[in-house]
Amino acid sequence: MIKVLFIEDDPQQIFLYQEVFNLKGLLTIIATTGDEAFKMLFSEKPDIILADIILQNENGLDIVGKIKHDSRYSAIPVVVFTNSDKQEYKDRALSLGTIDFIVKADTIPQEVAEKIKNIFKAYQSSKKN
Amino acid sequence: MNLSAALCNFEGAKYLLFSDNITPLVYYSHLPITIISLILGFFILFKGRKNLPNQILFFITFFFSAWVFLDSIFWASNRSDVIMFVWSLQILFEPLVHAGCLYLIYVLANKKDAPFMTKLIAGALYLPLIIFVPTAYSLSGFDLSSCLSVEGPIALYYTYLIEIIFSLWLVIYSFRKYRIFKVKDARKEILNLTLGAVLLLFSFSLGNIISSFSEDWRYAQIGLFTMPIFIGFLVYSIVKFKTFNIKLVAAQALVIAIIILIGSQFFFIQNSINRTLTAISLGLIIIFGWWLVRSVKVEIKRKEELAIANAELQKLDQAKNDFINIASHQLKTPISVIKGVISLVQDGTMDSFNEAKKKEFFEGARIKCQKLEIIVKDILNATSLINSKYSVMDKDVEAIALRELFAKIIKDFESEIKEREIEVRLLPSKEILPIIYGQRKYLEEAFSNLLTNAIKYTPSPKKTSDIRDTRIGKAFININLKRGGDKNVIISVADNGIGISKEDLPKLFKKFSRGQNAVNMYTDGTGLGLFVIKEIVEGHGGKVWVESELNKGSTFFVDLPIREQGGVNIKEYIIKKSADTNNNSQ
Repeated sequence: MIKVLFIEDDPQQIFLYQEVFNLKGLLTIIATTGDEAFKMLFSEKPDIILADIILQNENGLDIVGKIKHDSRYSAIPVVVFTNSDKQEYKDRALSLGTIDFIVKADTIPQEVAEKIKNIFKAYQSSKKN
Repeated sequence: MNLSAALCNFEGAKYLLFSDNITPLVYYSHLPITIISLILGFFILFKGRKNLPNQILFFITFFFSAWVFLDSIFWASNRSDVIMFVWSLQILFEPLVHAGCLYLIYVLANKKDAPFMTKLIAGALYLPLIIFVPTAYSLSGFDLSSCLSVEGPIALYYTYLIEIIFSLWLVIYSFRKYRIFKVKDARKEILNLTLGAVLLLFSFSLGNIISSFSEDWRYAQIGLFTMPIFIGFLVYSIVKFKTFNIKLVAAQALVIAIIILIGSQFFFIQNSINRTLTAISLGLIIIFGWWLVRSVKVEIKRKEELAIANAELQKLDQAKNDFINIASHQLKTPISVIKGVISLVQDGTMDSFNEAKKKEFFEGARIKCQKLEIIVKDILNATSLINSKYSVMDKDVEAIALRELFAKIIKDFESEIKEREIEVRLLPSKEILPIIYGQRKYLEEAFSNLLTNAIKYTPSPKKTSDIRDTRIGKAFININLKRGGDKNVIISVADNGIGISKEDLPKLFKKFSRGQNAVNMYTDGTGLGLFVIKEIVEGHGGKVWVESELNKGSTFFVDLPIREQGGVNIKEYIIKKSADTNNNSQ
């Protein structure tokens, strides 16, 4: 089972996506802050990270940046999952080495679950080569 | 012993200056120039007695005028002692003009005084002149046949040497400053100033240098003509230092030059017809010149105003773009949740969940729907308030019980308050609150915004990962309603949140502004909340203000007028107050 670390702090969104992901076979763990995210990375060792950008006290891309600079976790694929489609964010996400940028409002949870599975599979096969 | 001075072989001067032995050219060049330069000098001093650049320019023009005046005495006199004396003074004064220009450029470029070391070096260069001028090294003797002093090495070489040093120093310094300045305007400014100073010194010196070496003193006169123009150039640059515009300077310089040229003709036109014609030309040129300079000034001023307005518009445009980005994110978030829940129902996925979870999905959608409602209302209200100045109207006014209204608003935000673990207290009043009259939907909007703001920027201490958060203990928001004076009610919303910095306070209630501390707390701001509150409160004849300390918390105060039993009819009061505000702002 693929383990997903979902960095998000909005309660309704957490519930919605976590329940649907779990139903679709993605074991989902939640981190609402950067500190929590690192705790989860250490204790849970997720396979893929799904990160929101707009958080209460921080910018999700800053957290992704820290993760990518940490040699223990930099290999874990990161997908940005947000409602903010500012070009500036897209560019920064790309430069940080994230492998996809999904806009929440353009999709529904079930589709996202499938997408994550596909992204992870594709990432696995590209690593093998 | 009575030493009588040796006399040259022509008649002595009358009143020190006037003699038939001089060509009119000398009068033409000297007298107007002395007067014009002195006028410019006093003008610049008058414009800024206490400013260093003004003082320096006065210094330059004073010594230049003095030099020219002494020169005219020199021309007219037949007395060797007088000539020796004025010539010596001229030797002393001339380098002062150069040193002055150097000092001036330094001060204008750096906007502060030159360091003591620099002044010391310049003074050291000048010192030999003071020591040797009274000696034979300066003027070694007098030639009666040509009626000229004989120049020794100090007069001949040293003066020109230090003048060249000062001038080169000026140019090199200015060139270095030009390289340092990155801003185009600052570069243009230093270039123009230096050009003016250099041309001034050049025209002043060149004539003298050529004359010294060729021994034909008529060449010196050429240089004198251009001097007032360049002095005017520098005067202008100091008076209008901020906007040094070459167009205006050129227009003014041209006009002044023409006036001088035509005016000077009076000195040697004998024919009365010519005089009349010249007078008419002078009159016409003065009128035309004044008109020309004025039009150029107006054009420049308009351009400046346009540039400023443009910059303001660009800032506002950027702010609006930011607002659109934020607003679009704020709208998409609840939409994505609602959309998600509905899609679960439609494709049957919802059936895979138990009843408890189903309930939670729907509750989530409901909460987000409510949020969406609030955001849309926010944006619509803000938009209409931006487009026209709000003032509550008679027909929209109704009685409002403040306590009830606040209780309702607090209930509306229940889930968020719980989520953030903030304690929101509507403090009990010591007295019965009077009734407020106003437009309910807008007042509700304003008070909701006050509460939203307080909630937004007051995170629960244990939830925040912001290391700058120095608060301890529980997060709280206290809402206090009390009677202000006779005719008003004061509402205060106090939180122990992140507070507002001193720099942000003045721009707080402007459209699209968000305090620096708020930038990290990104979730819900559209940047319009406070602007909306201000517009609504003021439209009701009230006032809003804030007291805040960074990381300690903020308290927002709203002062609203009330209804008195048997007193002022509040509807009339509000309308009158709004009318007064409108009149005052017109």
